Amino acid sequence: MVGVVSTAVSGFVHPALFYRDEAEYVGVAVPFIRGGLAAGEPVAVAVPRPRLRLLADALGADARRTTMIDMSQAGRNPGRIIPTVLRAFADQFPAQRTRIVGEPVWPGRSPAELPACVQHEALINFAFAGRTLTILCPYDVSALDEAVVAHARTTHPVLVDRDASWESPDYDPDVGLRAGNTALPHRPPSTEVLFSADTVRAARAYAVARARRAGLPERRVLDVELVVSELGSNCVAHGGGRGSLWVFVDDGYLVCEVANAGIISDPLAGRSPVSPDESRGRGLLLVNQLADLVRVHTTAETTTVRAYLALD
Amino acid sequence: MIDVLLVEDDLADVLMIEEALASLPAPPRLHVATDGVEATAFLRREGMHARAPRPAFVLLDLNMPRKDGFEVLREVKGDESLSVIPIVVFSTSDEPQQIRRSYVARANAYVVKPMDVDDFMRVVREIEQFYAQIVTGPPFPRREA
Repeated sequence: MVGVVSTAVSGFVHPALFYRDEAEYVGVAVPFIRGGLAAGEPVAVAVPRPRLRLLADALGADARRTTMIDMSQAGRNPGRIIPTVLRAFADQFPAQRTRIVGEPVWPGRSPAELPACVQHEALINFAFAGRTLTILCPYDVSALDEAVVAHARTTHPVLVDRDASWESPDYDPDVGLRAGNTALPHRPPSTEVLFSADTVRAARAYAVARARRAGLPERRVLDVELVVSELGSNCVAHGGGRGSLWVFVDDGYLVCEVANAGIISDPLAGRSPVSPDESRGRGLLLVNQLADLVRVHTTAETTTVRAYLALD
Repeated sequence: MIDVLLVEDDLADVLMIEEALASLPAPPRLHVATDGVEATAFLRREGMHARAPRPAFVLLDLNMPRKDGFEVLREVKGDESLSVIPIVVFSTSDEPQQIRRSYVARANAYVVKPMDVDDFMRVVREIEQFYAQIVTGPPFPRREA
């Protein structure tokens, strides 16, 4: 035990830190980080930029021994945090216990992003089961909505504040998975483009044209092309051979929505790193890398994927 | 809101038709098939199109890969459950043989695509207005609607 965060010698520990101000944040996170460094454990801090600066200042010289990651950039899309931030760090040290401070939810996350954040936090419990590491997830309870904090109680088996650590009586990651798999917000009136293996290129061309018309920066038009290509190929391969595409603008995003008759049975689809010699499993992973937000709604009959790309 | 099925493989035409319809006071819901196979799958409610709406009319190009407009016409008009759906052939061709062949295949109307962009947009809007506001469409059984 270093500070209030329990750090078992083996196994996966996933506590949520409920903090109310910077003093409480630093007061728990810094001993957690320094405890890891003192034990010779690799430590990463993946938090939004202002919090990154706060912890770097508090750590002083120890900050240079810690991997610092701006979560507001690397984790803007919650769907890419597990492969790109957490596993990208932890997988470098397969034989060592590691520690990560990971803050995926911060005030200012949009209503569209929050279900994806909850889903991400729930999936961490499955993605790292059996691994030897601790991921401490800070939650600013003074600024976040109570519903967000309530979800944190279901997605974290352990809760921590400045004084103590205790088991969450509400822990049930399936609740978080369901919260992330809710019906998507109403789609504004938009054209449905039908496609199959022979016409997926036409659908892609339509998406590119709509992206340009919507004013998406040219450097990101290629992202749209790749996103629709991957989602379209998934439909053809796993979704009954057919799909539908809608492209629309919503709240500062260009949104590419693809629906098909397939179902996603693996909740970690698109969140597991793929080695260069594997030929499958890249589609949704790539979409998660390229998009600023990805929402998935899968039912017993259909799967709908929305990829959001910021227009600014 | 009415539904319109556009069967067209030319992206520029798709975008122009989309823009023309979007400028209407009450734009229809547009569904685009880029070839005849997709169009008939939608109309027959195959696979993921099981809950597809019945379009108020179909705007059909003739020259398309895999299954061209004439084949679509033959299949739809030969299917008792679909044959009442109005089909407007919308083609660049003004060849009398093509026009006659379309009517023989029971097209409800044949419209030559205007070359001028403004005329093109106006004609698209007028076709939609005709079917949305003037025509009383075929009634479908409740399950079919």
